[in-house]
Amino acid sequence: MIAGGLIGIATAVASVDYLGSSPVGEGSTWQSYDVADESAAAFYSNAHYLLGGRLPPAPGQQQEMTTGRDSDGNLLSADCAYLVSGDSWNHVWWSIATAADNGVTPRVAAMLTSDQAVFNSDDSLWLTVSQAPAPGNWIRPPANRNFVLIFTAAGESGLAMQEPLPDIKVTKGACP
Amino acid sequence: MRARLFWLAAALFLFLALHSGYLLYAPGFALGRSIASSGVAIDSPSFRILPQADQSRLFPTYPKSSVFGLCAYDISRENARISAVMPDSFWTLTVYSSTGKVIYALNSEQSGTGTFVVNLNKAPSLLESLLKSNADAIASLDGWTVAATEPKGIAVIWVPLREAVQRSAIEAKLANTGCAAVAAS
Repeated sequence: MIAGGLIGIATAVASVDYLGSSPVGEGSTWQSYDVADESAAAFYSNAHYLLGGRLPPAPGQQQEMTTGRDSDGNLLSADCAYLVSGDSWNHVWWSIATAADNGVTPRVAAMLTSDQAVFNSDDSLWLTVSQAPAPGNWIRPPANRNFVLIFTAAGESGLAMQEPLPDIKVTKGACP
Repeated sequence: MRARLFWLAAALFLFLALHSGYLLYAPGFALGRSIASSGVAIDSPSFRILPQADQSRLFPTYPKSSVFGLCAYDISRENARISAVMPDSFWTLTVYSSTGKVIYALNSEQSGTGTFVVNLNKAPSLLESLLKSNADAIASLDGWTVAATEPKGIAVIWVPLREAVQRSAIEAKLANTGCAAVAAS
C-alpha cells in the first residue's frame, strides 16, 4: 500500500515533465512547455511552472525553451565550453541563460539578453558558454557539473500568431 | 486470496489518490507559497513595484534588471480596475488567476497606447449567463473588460530595461499605475 502511494507521487512528478514538454523541432534537444488552453499538454505544462513557484509565460506573448543537452545529445557540463549559435529571429526581446540543473526551480547563473547581444553581420548570433571569458558574446555556466540553457522570448505578434522558436544549436568545444 | 486483492485495491486507490492529489493541489500550493514569500498578499487590490531583491523568487529566468509591477486583486465582492501607465518601451501585462492560469495578456506592440484601463469582473455563472439579456453582454467602452472565473489573482507588468540607469525613470512612470476595487455594477 505504501508502495502504491509512493509510486503515485513519483509518477505525478515524472508526468509533469514527461507529458508537459515537447521537443521544439524534430530531433531538437530543446524542450518547450505549451501552456496555451488549446494545448493537450497545458495542464502538465502549467504544473511545470507552478511547481517551481513560477508564473507561466503568457501564451502567444512569451515563450520559453530549455535544454540540458548539446546538439549531439550529450549532457551540458560546466567543465566544457560550448558555442551556442542560431540564425536571426524576430522576437522583440529574448534572453539565453545558464542555470543549475537542480530540478524544479531554475537557479540562473548568467544571462545574455537581446539588449546586450552582439550580432554577426548576417544577423546570426554566436554565444560562448564557458568558465573562462571569451571574446564576443560570453556567459559563464553555473558551478554545478551539469547545467541547462533557458531561452526566453517575447514575441511581437499577437495571441493568434506565435513567432516560431528559433533553431539554436549547441556545439561542444574544449573540455579541459 | 481475498486479503491480497483487498490490499492490491487499497494500493491502487492510494496510487490514484496521491497521483491526482499531487497534480491538482501541489502546483497551486507551490505558487501560493512563492507569491507569499515575495511579499504580495492577494486580499485587496493594490499595486506595487516588486523590489529587485524579491524578483528572483517569482521570476527566476528574467533579467535581474527588469522592473515588475504587481497588482493583486480579489473580485469576490467588488470588481477591480487597473489604470495602467506604461513607459515608452517594450512591456507586457499578464493577468493570472490564483492558480496560475493566464486569463489576459497584452504587450506594448498590441496595445497601441501606454495609458489604458483593464476592468476585472467576476465571470457570470452559467445560470446568470442564461438569464442575462444580450445588452448586458456588451463590453464596457471604458477600457478592456476581463471576466475571471476565479475571484483572486495577480496582474503582472514586466518591463525589461536596456540599461540599468533606466530603472528609476521606469519605476517612477510605472508607479502612476493604479489598482483599486470598484463597486460591481
